Amino acid sequence: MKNSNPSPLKKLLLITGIVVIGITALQFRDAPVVNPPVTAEVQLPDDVKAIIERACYDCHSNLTEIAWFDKIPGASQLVAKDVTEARSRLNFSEWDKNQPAVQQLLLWEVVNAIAEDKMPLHNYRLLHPGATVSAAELDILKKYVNTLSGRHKIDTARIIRNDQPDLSAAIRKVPVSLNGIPYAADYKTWKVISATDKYDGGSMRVVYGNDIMVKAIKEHTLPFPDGAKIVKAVWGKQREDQDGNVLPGNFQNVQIMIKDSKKYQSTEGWGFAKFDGLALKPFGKTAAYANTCINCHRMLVPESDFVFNIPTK
Amino acid sequence: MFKKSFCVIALGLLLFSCTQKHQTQLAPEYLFDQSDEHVISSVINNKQNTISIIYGNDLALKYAHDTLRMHTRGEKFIMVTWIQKPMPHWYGTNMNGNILSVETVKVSQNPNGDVLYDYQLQQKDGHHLVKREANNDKRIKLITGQMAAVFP
Repeated sequence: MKNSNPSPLKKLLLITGIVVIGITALQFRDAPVVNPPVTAEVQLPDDVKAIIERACYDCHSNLTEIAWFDKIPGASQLVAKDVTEARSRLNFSEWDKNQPAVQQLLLWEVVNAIAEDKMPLHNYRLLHPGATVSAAELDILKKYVNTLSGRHKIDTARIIRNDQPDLSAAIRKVPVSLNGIPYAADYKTWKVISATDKYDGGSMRVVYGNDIMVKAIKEHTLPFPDGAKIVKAVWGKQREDQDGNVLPGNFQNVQIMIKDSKKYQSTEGWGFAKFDGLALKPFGKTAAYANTCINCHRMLVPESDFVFNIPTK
Repeated sequence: MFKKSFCVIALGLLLFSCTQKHQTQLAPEYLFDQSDEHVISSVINNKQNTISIIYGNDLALKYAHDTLRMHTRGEKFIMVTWIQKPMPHWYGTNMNGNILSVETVKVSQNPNGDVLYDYQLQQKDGHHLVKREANNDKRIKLITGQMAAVFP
């Protein structure tokens, strides 16, 4: 007589199978990515918009289109995490949450992320090869950002001069950034490590390094040691003269990076600070502004210890 | 056996090369030793594809802040000019590359009180800066004529 009772192993397999199918079904039904309403979509020329939509919108908009394989359990959670992170950094569907100058900077950042082959993410492109941006399309994006108003911005305002900077610095309270970095004027005695023309936003900069920073550059030390400091002084650009010379206009801000690998562990060892205008108003609404700084530095210059403005070959 | 080992080594090298981060090469030769001189101003010139910094000693900095524009004997101005190059990893910014020239202007006065300018031009020749004769009136005007950039 044949035994009709299944073996314990078969029973276990059957139960496991039912549980897996059940969980899978639930996962397909409850795809964790939801699309919030589009509150203010970015306005771009048609050819530029088409590229951005195809390459960026699945993660950087509220119009995410989820492919069937993105709904597979395990993958769906990863996709949801990526989309949430991506939207928090840049969301083309909530474009008016950024100031106009920031909007332009974000578009330059998009171009750079693509040019540096950081975006769309490699693993995303493997499964969505259609999102890849070709060299010709990147040229279209580059041409477009060069038409933005910041590209040819000239500082025509009367230059406000701080005639006795040392005196005014001595009598006023030392400004401190929201993450606790005080402004200190001693950078004016440091060495210059670079000078830049940031034509994407119409500013020119002189970048200083303290002794530790300069020594590290001279000795080819990377990553930079704790105690290294960089200060960028930023001005608008005056109108070009007949010989082609462009001189600093009004003072805009001072930007500081301080290396302390323990204190600033969450931002790759760098503390960021920015002080706006001659009043040196600390930048940002919360100390989390430093994340915005490091997100871009982390994406584009990891091999330079997350610093752009250093002399490199 | 040889074939197998070769394949393993080749695969290893391939994986290594894919995971190796390209390390930046620092370029200390772009730095200018400004000694104790202060930054007076900077100049971008897109026609020449250059970027410059005008440094000065205490007296030169004082002059550059002075709206009366009265020279004092002993002022020393140094204009360092670098070639411009695109900033690596950021399309949208140009920065200094190699040093092209160093121009120095020393201000003195003759017994009659006339202001005299001693102009020297050093240009990069290979790895060295060498002195050159140059028509200097226009350069002296540019180098000494700038108001100091505004700092907080």
